[in-house]
Amino acid sequence: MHHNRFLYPIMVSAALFLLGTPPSTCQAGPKVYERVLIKRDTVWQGEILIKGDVEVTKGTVLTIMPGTVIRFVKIDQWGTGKLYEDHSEHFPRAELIVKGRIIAQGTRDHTIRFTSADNVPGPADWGAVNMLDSTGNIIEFCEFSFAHTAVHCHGAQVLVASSYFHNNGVAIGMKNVKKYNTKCVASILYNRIVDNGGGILFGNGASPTIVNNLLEGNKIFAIFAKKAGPALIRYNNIVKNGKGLALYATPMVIFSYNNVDGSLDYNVSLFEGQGYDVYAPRNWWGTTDEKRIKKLAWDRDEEKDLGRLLFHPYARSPVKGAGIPFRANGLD
Amino acid sequence: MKRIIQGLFILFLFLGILAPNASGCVGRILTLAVSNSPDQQVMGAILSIYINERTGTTVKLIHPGDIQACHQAVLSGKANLYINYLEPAGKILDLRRDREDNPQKLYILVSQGFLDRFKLVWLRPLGYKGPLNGNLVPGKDASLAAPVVSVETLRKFPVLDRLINKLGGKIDNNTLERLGSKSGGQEPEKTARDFLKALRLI
Repeated sequence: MHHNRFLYPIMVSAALFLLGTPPSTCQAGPKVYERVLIKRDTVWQGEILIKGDVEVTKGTVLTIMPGTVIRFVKIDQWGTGKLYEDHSEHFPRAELIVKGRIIAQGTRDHTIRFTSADNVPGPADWGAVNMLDSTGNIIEFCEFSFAHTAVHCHGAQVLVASSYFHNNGVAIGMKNVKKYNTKCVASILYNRIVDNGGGILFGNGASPTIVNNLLEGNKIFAIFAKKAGPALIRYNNIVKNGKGLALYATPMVIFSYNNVDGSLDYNVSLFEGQGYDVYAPRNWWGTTDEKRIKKLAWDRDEEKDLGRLLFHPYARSPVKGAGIPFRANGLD
Repeated sequence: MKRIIQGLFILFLFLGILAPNASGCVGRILTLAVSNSPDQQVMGAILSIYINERTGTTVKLIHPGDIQACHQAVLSGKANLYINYLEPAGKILDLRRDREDNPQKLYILVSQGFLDRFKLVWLRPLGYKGPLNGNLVPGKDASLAAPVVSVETLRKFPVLDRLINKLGGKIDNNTLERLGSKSGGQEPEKTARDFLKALRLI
């Protein structure tokens, strides 16, 4: 017993040391971060208020506990709260920059929220969870709102699952850049991506797997591939977006078994410069009327320089199993 | 006119959020300089929506002043393209002594002169003559309008010339007048979008 009495405080101290930040119940208010580098492994929980850029440095892990709420103050654009001025990979307002790793795993009942601290929030109040030359990142059961580009990767690898994105400029954006050896690879599964300006944007050889998501009501596009690498896009419900799928200079996407319907503009739009055909069989396009399917696609029939949308054979009814599986997204 | 400018401001405020090149991600911003003349306002809306719809590139409109100010904005790199007219462009090049009454010949002279002197490329004339007065009626000195883009911009946006040239000859003065009067009664974005859709350009 005496042995345990001595060991207990040591174990608690060790656990707190390993966890980094003490729980918020010990704090009077939210833990505040402002223009800071995190240089040792850290755990966030409770309420976090970000008033300027925060960087998780190379070799460091930031772990965010279920139920944590991270609020970003709408700081001045490119003002004193910024760590970097490089516009090519940073955002005008506060970001969580990840050069190490981020493990943000909520649970179905205790999601992690990333949002604006503004009383009247709007898109782009804050920048992004911005992963740069970083691998081993996990985003699961999180909610993102009012970001510029909520989850952003340059030469980074991430799993984004069972999360909810709404009212952001773009939900998820990624591309490869020359200065990083790490190639962008992302698994995007079981997410609800609704009412953003754009849904998922990837380019410069980035190669995501986009499966079993709901992309709905995104004003400009649901998925936009620009000079992208091979991408697998299957079993998604892509409904009521401006454009369902937009492509520019992308040689290969595997786009099949999706339900694509109700696009305000086009279900699929091949942009000027998309000379490659798009292989898209076995999707449900909201109709079995081929003329209607064609009418909702912009391809070589409209512009001779473009590739063709190869949509045969097409599904005769909505694809079963597309969209978010039962309770894979805790917010359903 | 105020309505046009307000409408465009709202449109591009939102698109600006999606302008990842300015901050972060995959896309890029193209900056279009327009003067305050009615034809330039209408063309600003049409070009912006057309380029955005067909390339995914966000277009930012700026209003540096008159045509000369737009020209300077492109030369200084503050803008990527603008709309100019053959007659004033010929004057910039001091082509008066060599002036051609034939618009096609004048276009060739101006195009070559701008490329040599300014590294600017004249794209296909849009079809109408300007600049215009407030009633969108061409004056006696009006001449063909055409988009002008820097060589550097075409390097960055390799399909831009091919795309914009598809507008060539499709917007005459009657069309412009009709679009201008419509813009006064509804959102300019909708007017421009409806026009482009009717031509099967988007």
